[in-house]
Amino acid sequence: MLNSNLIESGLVFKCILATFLMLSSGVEAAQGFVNLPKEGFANSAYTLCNTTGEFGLKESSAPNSDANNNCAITREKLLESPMNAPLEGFNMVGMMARDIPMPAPYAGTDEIVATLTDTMWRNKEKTECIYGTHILLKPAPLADGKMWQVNDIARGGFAGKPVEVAYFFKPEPDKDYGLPEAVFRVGRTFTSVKHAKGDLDLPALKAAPASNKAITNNQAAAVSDNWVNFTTDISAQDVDGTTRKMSSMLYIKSPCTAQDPVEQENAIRFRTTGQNGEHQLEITVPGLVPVGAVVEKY
Amino acid sequence: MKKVKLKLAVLGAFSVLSAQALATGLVSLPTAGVAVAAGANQPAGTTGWELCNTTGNYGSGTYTPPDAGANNICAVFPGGGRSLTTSPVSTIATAVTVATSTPITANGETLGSLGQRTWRNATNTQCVFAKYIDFATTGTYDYNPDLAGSQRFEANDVVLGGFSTTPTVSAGYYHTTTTDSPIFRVGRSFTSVQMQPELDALGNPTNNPFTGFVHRPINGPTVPAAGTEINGVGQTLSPSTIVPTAAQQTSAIRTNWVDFMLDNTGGVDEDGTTAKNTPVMYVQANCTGLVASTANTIRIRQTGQETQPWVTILASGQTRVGANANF
Repeated sequence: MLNSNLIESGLVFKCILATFLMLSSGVEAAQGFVNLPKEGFANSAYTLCNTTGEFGLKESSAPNSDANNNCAITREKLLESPMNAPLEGFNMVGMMARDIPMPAPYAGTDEIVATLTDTMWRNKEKTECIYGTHILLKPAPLADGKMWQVNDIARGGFAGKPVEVAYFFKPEPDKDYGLPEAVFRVGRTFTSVKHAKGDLDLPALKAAPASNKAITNNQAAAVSDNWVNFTTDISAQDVDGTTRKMSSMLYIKSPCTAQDPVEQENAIRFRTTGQNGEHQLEITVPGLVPVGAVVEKY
Repeated sequence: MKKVKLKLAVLGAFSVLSAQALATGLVSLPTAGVAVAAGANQPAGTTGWELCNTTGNYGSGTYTPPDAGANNICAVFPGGGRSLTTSPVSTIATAVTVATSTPITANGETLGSLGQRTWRNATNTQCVFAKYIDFATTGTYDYNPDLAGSQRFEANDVVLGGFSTTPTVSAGYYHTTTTDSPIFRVGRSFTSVQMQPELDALGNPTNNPFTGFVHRPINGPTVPAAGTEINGVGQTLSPSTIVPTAAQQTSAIRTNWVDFMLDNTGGVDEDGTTAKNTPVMYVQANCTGLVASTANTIRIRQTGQETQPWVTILASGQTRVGANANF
């Protein structure tokens, strides 16, 4: 009995220790770039990042060294300027900022609803690139009088390639545009999934719509290794009362060559998934992709 | 023989005279381009580019602003400064819009403000589109992370679109004040072409481009693909050491676009000559007397005159109704 008790308490202690180790290593591993396997995760195409703020229905919290820091990256240099690379050893190769026009019939008087900034960094060995995405929404009402809302941002061109993702949340509010929004989850998928109150944080793989489905209410998404989907919540004026006008810096790291990336039509997709009952909408714009990439592949 | 020589001499004198007389005013940029002869830093061929202010070596050195007497090719002096009160073309002087100013942002930071106004003629067949950019001096984002310290965006070219229906556009600029740079060259081109200066023994720019860089890029034999924002050698951590190939200094004539080469930054220019604002840039082109805001018809480019990486900022511009940003 005594013996077995000892064994039992030993086991319990071991379990506690193991849990503690897992947790602590989990926290450490959580910071920075996370791998998005080509085949997705065991039960989802997505993995969770910052789970504060109920996917934008409430105020999300900035990541810090102790909490909310899955997928999050920060460095002194990023605090100075987000044009600095998120990782040591990478240099900025090029940057492109463009206006995003809202197409008819959704556009209001001012058709320009946002500015997208597309930045690329490459490592010195010219073997890996980081694609940076940032969007700032303008207070330009749509035809229905409401402001555009971006719940998901998808980028294509990564089929067959390893992909790691991260985001940088600038913790000091900008004097003109305030705080950015966090990234709630990120997936190796083309499909953006509506997240209203009570919906699944991680969309299932089971019963997912076809992999070329852009937006779904079903709480499931199929894996598409060509696409990376960041779930966030940006609007110049959010009807749920929690307004973040710009995204964090969103990063995708993937192998590349010395050849500079090319811009391709429809490589970046912005989705309104209807979190607060908005009309579901996808806006597609050109974006930098690896040389030889095919965008229309799911 | 003597007769021919005399004729040539007279012709030469006339063309010099007429060139001087026409020096102030918008310059013609025909769709077909013009022939250019070979010379120093200049291959022979057909070019869509005209030289404007030839002082300051395209911004690398110290330029002399235009005035009524000198350095005034492409230059106009309508008055009114940046209020855009007056059209530079007296026959195209009915304002279509009031002067507007809109912010330009990148990565969520204000980069500058864009001023615009358009005038039309009485018959609604021609417009003058005026644009200028005041670069923000308040920015903190680093547009050259590889260089020590923190550098603001440097504009080397501002390219305006929406002119595809006009066989020959006219373009020019108004140097409103000492904080403006002049326009060094203007071209019927979508692609901006990188320029770097020849350096003297002390490392200061001479009055010439570095070996291989050309004054007026020609339309061949190999031109960059349609949609190429910038042609050149790329980012150079040691500028004026890499000789571009001939193909890295060409640009196709693109009827929809006019490229103004200048040198502006809201920070401190790496070359030591800082001008924070563009001059007012004008394009006279066909229109129906109405304007629209057309996405991505303004491209503002950092092309690496010193050690900068290539950056392109796109903005919406006031254009004729029905214009587009096609290449």
